[in-house]
Amino acid sequence: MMNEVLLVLENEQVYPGALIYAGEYARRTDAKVTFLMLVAMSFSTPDAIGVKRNTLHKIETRVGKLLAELTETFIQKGLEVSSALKIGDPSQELLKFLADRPSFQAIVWGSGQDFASTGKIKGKHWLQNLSGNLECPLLTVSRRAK
Amino acid sequence: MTFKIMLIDDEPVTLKRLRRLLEKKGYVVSSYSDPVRALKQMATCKYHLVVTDLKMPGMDGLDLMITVKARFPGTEVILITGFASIDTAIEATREGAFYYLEKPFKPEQFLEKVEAALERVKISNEVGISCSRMDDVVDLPVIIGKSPKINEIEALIRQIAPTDCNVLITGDSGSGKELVARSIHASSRRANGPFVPVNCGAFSETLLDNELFGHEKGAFTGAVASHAGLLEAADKGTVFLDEIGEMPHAMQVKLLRVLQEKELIRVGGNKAIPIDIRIVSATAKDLKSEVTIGAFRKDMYYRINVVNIELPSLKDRPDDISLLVFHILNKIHKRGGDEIKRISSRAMTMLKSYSFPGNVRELENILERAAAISKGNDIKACDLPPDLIELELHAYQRPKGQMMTLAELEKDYIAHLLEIASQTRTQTAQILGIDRASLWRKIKKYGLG
Repeated sequence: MMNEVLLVLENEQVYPGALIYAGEYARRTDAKVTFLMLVAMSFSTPDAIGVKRNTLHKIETRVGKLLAELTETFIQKGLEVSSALKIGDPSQELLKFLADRPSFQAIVWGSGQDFASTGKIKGKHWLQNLSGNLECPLLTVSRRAK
Repeated sequence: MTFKIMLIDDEPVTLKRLRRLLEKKGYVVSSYSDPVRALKQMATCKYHLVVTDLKMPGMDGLDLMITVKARFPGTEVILITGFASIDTAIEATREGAFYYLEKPFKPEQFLEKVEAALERVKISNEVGISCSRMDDVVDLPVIIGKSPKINEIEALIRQIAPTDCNVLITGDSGSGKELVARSIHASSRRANGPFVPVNCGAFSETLLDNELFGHEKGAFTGAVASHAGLLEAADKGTVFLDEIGEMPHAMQVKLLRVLQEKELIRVGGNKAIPIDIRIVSATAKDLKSEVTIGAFRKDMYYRINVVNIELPSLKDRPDDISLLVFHILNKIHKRGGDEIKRISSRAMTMLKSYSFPGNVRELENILERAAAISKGNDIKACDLPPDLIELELHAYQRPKGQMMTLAELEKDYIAHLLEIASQTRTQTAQILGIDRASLWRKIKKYGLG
């Protein structure tokens, strides 16, 4: 079974440090990199799909372009990559995505530095909370203090 | 020095021709048409060179070469094929083939390559990487570490190795599961028998069936001859079933029968063949949970898990990192790399602060790279990969078994949505699919205001 690392991105935010780490890690462990972009959106109201169809289409186009750019840089380095976009409740979408796949070796948070540095609100980030239910370590990347 | 050569080809005519050529030159030659039987023979006797055909029924030459290189690192391999392609040639060379020879070839051309390969074996011996020492590395694996957990594991291995009980090794990818399995085998009464590693995740159900149990002639289209499987090849030895959690249900049933009855039936056969094997399995999955959800058979789980060895991740034994670093650097030097005498304290601190999701395998890779690019006899921080120099990593993993409550999940999700909606409660309520009053109540309840 091939080693695989998952780079989780949220709401089109990309932290370059996470990209550097994922690429280097994949190279030294001969792993494949999977990009997963999660976009938060609720579909609970009955008319939601109709109302949000246009928004969904725009997100798909924008994120598709972004993911293509990101994966291209990895392909150029000779790494095997794949990408996916999931729209809905991020934690649920991530769990569903993980349930359909063989386990990853590591999950890297790709939309920011440490979770703590992004939070203005009390409470943990949803991904940090999920870490206890994941099969592999969840990693966050930050710049080393000089 | 008399060189021993193993010839493997499913075409008897080629086999005979090459054997005669090599024997004329004074080499000791063993020839086999069945790669599995050849591997079994190689476990009992040391060979300096393997010349194998690429396309053979049962096991292809490339897989055979990878197995040979993993089990007998001092042995060189020459691949011969009538179906040459650039891709395969590149792959073969990358995986460590000495040469990739395309059929038809002239006898002198073949002998020239054989001599060159044996010359390399000879040089390796002269510089100290003798086959016997390499065998030592393979046969007597050493578990490096002084942490209490590693000491416990070593004591457990010493205790259980002489018994014949089945062992389940659990641990993250790269934590050294195969090393522990080899260590158990090397300390057991089966040490002189074969150690056969099988990656259950690498084969489809049908292929795994054929690989493990072998087949009788005519069992399926293309089964032109009877073929012994890996379980048979491991007779009087140990089978290491890696990634056992990936084994299909049907295969688990078949293997269970082998474990209970100590005999197997080849695919397409009707005769039970008695075998004497010890099963050591490994998985990175939580097999108990897999049993609970029905993805893995309960009876099989209890049968393979007589003794469980749980390997710690490298991040859980940081004190062992320095020992491992020096052991790996020494190994690199023995393999022919430069001698690295020191590692700067800054580089060591960086390594110790890294969480190594890829475990010992990742540490090995980092050090190989550093040893290759370092100038002089010591490794400095600047020789480490750029991501380790520039970036800092934090690993999140809750203690096992500690689950979140629904309320905790709800609280954190609301907090997160409030953040991404820049505190706009109308938008947050919309995303959550609830009215503003309900959201207000929840914010108050969880103290998020």
